[in-house]
Amino acid sequence: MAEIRRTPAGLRVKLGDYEMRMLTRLVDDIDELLAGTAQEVRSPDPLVELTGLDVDASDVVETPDDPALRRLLPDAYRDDDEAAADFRRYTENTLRGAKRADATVVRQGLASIASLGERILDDEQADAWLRFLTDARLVIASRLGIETADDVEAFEHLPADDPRLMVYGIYEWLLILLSELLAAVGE
Amino acid sequence: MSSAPAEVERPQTDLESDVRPDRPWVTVVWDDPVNLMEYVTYVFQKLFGYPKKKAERLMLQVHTEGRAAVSSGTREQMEHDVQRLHAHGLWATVQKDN
Repeated sequence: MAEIRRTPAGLRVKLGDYEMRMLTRLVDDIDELLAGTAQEVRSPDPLVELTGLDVDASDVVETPDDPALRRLLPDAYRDDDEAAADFRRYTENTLRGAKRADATVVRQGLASIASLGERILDDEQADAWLRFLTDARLVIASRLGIETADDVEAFEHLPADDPRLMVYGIYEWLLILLSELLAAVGE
Repeated sequence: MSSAPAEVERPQTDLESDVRPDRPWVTVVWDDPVNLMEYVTYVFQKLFGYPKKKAERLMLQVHTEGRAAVSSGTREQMEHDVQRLHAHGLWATVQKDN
């Protein structure tokens, strides 16, 4: 079982084998999700569509189709598509990079735990773990179709043979891990 | 709490009394069923330097009302805040202050 303790040297993290495997999977999955190239759209110019001319695809950047990715890279304007597209064009790559960097910090931590049995995190690394765990929960929630508090309530009452129960179990476990890490950070 | 380099320092005043004609934009954080309340509070403290009580109040406002304006300033400042909030897994948007 996970053990997260604040020590004079930093936050000491120990994880069980199953937890290591789960987190390693999640790091790979999320990194892959974020590594996909930014969505590009053709110009809305009808002449361009008619002639099939190759346009500079970075002119406009669209909100991701994948709802999990859309939750990690949300729109910055609710009622202004143009402003949202501008913001996305200028910032999305940076945000993808930042989240992938957080996943890398976790990956490196997992490697240390695998070889040394534990990892001491400094404050910056602990924050990276918090952000990564948050991203992981956001992606899983999206995949499970959790959009409201009522959806969460429904998952509490799934029949024992529902195939989604295992993934929901991971979702709950991530919450516990995140809570423990946050508590240790706050000490 | 760390702050980004070249951060514009804003005085810690009550948001409601801080609306001025030269600062007409706000950052709004939206509720979601995923994020841990204590984590949201932590993010507000960390990103904006708010004391814990204020951060908790804003978090609870997001939780019970579905949204809360967490900062105000120029449009560029708000876009910067939204970027940082998105990097921490919160959903935030920029809008003109009403």
